[in-house]
Amino acid sequence: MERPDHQQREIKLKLHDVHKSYNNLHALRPTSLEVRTGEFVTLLGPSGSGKTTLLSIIAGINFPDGGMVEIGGVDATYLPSRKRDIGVVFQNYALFPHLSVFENIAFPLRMRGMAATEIDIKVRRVLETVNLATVGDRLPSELSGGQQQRVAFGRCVVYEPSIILMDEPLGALDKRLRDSMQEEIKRLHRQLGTTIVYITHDQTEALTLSDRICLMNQGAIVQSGAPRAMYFAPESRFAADFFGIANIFAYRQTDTDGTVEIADLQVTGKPGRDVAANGQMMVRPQCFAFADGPDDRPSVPGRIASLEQYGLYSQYGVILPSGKAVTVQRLTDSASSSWAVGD
Amino acid sequence: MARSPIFSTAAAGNLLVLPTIGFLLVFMIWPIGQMLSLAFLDSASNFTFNNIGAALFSPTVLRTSTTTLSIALISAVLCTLIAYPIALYLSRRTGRVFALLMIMVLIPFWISVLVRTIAWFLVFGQNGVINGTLTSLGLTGEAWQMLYTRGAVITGIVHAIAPISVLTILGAMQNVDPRLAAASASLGASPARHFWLVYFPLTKSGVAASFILAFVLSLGIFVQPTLLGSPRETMIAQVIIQQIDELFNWNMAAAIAIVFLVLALLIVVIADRVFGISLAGRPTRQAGARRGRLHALQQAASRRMLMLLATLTGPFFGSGAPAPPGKARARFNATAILAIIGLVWLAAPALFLIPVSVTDSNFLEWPPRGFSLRWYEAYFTSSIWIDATLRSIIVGLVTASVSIVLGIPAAMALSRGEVSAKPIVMGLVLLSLAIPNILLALAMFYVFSTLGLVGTDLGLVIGQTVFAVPYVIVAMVAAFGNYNWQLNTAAGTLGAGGLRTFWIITMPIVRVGVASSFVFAFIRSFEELSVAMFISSGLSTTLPKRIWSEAHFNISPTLAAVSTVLIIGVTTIVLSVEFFTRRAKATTQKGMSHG
Amino acid sequence: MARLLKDLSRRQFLKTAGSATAVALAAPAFIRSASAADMLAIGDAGGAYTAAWTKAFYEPFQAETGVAVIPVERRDNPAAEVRAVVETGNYRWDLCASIGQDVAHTLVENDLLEPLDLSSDDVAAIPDTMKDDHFIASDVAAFILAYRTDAFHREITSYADMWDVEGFPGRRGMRQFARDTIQIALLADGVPLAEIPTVLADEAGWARAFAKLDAIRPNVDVWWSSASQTPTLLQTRETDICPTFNSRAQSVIDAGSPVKIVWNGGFFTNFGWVIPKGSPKADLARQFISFCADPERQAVACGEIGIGPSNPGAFDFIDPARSASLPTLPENLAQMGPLDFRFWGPVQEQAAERFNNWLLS
Repeated sequence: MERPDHQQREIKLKLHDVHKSYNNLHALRPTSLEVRTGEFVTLLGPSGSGKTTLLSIIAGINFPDGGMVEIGGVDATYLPSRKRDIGVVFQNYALFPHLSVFENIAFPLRMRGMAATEIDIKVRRVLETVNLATVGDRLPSELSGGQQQRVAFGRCVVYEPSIILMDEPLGALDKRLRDSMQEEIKRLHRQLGTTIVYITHDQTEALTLSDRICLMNQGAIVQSGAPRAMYFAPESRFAADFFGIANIFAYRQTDTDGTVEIADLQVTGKPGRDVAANGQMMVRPQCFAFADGPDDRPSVPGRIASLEQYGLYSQYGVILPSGKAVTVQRLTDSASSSWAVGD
Repeated sequence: MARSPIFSTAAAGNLLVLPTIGFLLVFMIWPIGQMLSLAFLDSASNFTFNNIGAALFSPTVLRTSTTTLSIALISAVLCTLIAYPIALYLSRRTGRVFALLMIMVLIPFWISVLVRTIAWFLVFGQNGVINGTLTSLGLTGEAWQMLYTRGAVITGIVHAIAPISVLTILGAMQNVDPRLAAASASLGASPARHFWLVYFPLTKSGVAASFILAFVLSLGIFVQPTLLGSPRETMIAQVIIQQIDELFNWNMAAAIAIVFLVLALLIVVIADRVFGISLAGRPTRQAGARRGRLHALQQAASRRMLMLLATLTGPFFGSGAPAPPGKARARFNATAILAIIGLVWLAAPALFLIPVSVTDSNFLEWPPRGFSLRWYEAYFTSSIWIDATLRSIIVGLVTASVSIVLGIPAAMALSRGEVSAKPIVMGLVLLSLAIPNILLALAMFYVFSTLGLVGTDLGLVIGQTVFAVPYVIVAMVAAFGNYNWQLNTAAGTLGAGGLRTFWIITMPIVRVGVASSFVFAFIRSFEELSVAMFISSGLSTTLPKRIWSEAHFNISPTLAAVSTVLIIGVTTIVLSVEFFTRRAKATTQKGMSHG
Repeated sequence: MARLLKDLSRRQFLKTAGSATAVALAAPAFIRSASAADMLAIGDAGGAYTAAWTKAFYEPFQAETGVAVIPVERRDNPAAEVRAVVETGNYRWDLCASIGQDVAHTLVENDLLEPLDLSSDDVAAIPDTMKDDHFIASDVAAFILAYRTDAFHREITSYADMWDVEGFPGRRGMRQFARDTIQIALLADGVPLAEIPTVLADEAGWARAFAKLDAIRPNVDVWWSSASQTPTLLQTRETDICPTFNSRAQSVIDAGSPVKIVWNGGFFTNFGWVIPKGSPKADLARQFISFCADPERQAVACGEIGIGPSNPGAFDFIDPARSASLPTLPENLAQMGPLDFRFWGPVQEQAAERFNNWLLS
């Protein structure tokens, strides 16, 4: 999953302290970000967190109140979109309703003054790639949602921009289609090696696709890092919650060598990294296991208060002796299915 | 540092409306400001408020203002009611059917407003079309008094303005996604509910524009109440003209105009605040936020209202059950019936002019007597008539082109809501629409004289553009009401510059609106009389001037002949354009299938 | 001239149609405004007047002097145009035809007219009541009562008959204009025309006029405001009895319809020539006005439309059958009187306000 070679590649996109407000409302607080060539970076966050503002500043659709945008080492802060060598896939696709699928995809090439024969070849190739070869002469309104999405994508990749920006491109699709499109996007990313900045509010999508995730909240990037790190080592309550169910425990330092005690879990130990003296820690629900009695691993007694079956896994509500409720998820298999409410 | 591009910032929005504002400031506000400032002078040119005071407290002004406002309000409501089903019907037609229906809508347009009004005179007269028919069928003993009533005046006004309403609403309808009907149906909405809760709200920008346009236009109307009304239908423009011509008291004319314009402006502003009807389509987000609870209440009220309408009109929309295979859904539903009645009504008075144009009588009267082609002969053998026609066409085309060039960018900026100068533009638009033409034309004469524009065709074009630009702005704002501006953003990211995006993306999508605007502007010029009278040189006559002159001594059948020639001419042009584009299309398709 | 105009617009049309509109705007002909020295532009009353004037005056003048006379459309009441022309110095036309003496009087009071040349023999033959320093009548139009003979079994002879709605049932039309209608009301009430200013000297007189108007008001079917409507009104029987100008009624009679003019109680206004003050072609215009005072030429004009010649000598050249229908025929003139525009000028505004209110209430 990790691709360390990114660290050696050159920086493709660099944002330095860009910020933007509307009517004294901070849509985006001063934000800096570096994206390397070929990297797949996701801006993840709830709606209103500033991710679309950030994207539109990168795209040149909007201009920051201050700060700098560099693309390929060149100051592009106030450069119009069309001169930035970027591609944008819009949430609602923004397909041109009066142009055929073919013409929609040919549009950026025509804007670049490419010869007609060359356009024909390129567009046909892209139509093949996105599986739309048979519907080239239809109008966008005659296509299904998934097909429209692929047109939008094809229109964007056909001119091979060095950065592709995607604004919730799968938001309007059903789950099945979304899964297969995710695969498609990943495949194309690998195949084309393009730098992609992707916006979504869906953490699963972000975890699946990205090399790096920038979690945004209230107009700022609150944490960024590889999906795995984001998931298991959130730096804030917000980050912990955003990626899924989080069991939060307060801990207290009990010794100067760094040993901490977690009262609810009745454990003490040394954390793997330096942490503050007192604070909170998180345990993902699938990191608990059930056992009949004490064994060599740290354990705590508890009573199962609820059980929900989710197919692949089951989710339990467990009440600890301290009265704290904990959520536990286990794979649904024959061993675990013996646990029931009341145990 | 890179320059920020056009079409994205507020500054750029203001830049787009700047030419229009500048144009109207120089050629409308400067003249009309001078003219209206007369209101504050007495006969010895000393400063005074007496005229304004006299106008404010004059019972005549009060009564005629009330009459004008009530007639304008009723006319605006009727215009919109009649126009909506026609526009709806038209929006679903294409090709030759569309062209034919469009001709019917536009027929009244090609006839001078004077002749159009005279046509209603024929219809409503004591021995006119209706009374004549009723009497000969033995249905009524005594002729029915229809002329010189409020109904006649309103009929005349609505008939004159309804085509504009149709085109305005149609412009807003063209961008509604046709898939929405299927979407609503799948969500369980009956056709009636789909219409009232989904379709109608989406076309509201067109309805609002049509309503305000019709209302404001009716305010300055003069011909219809003069010819079709009794003294009780006297409207404000007539009072102002009386002051100018008969009483030679321009100071008073200016004072009355000021009092009335302020009153009209107040009403429009209040309507905007209370009902959210705005010429510029949707209210800005800021305004919406500020209104908060009131806004929410309005929304709830309007939703309930629309639900009620949906229930009431349900039976007329049918069940929405799928049509039998291979057959389109029943063609003659309620919309079609209303639309066809409306279309026939629009075209009818003009059609009565055709028999009158071959009358042997010296009078434009119903029923026509005998048969003679001498009125056509009078038209075709007169180089003055032919010259006037050609000149009016040229001036109309130039005026329409200039108006489009000025108006479309302004409308774009306005409907994207990125213009801080919006109130200024809307104020200018309203002023130009509501002010009696004669007052503005007279005012222009003074300013144009100092600019050396009087007696030139350039001056004529400029003067008529002042009247035509507002039509373009209003129609285009309505057409942009449902336009998806993200398309322009998308085109920008795909490498298209602002201008190219405009030509390749925006223009094709709003083409019906653009065509409507062009037609508005052309016709506004084509039948404009006051500016032509004052600004054009005496030697270069225009069609309205000729018609006016012809009607001056005696309303002769030549007017019917001219009108018939125009109707036939326009019909031929529209149909042949349609025919040739279709043939061209067929040819290319054939070529493609072979190749 | 017509030929020249034609070529001009053809050329522009081709350019406009051929390419962008900018070409037409740039075309020199498009912004041309100057008027040539060898022509005279006249703001005349249009339609049938232009036709009659062209035959009687314009063409002969061109034949004699080589100066082309170009008729130009003007508004019904040209007062506003004269004022605008003089105040801006932009002379759209060099002189104005068929302007009422009352309107000319207002213009003189506003110092907007050029003095005229009264020296020629033909002008001298025109009665003094029909000319002054700034106005020379070309013709006389009478405001008379016209009615359809097929609508009434008895002859109508006076305005009193118009008020007799029982004796003469039928559709009535009135002019929506304070001065004429108030005069008519007083005439119907038995006031001789000449005494109207005296009666209207005090409020009682005005009240009397409006009381008389109250009496007929419910029986008025049409209030017309543009005289051009009245021939059609009489022709189509929108009205059976209607005061109007004699020339308008005459056009219906000439078309063969059963309409008759009641000269009794009529009042006439002189219509004629004025030159806007400062007109660069004032001298040429004066020459033209003198030319038009010629009795024989006036006779030609009166043969075309039913107006009375200002030069009494014209009757020598007019067919007697035609003369009978003209207002300045002595027999007709004797039954009428002049409109006292000097009395009406100052009271016109007040009369209009009162009349408007009366109409609207």
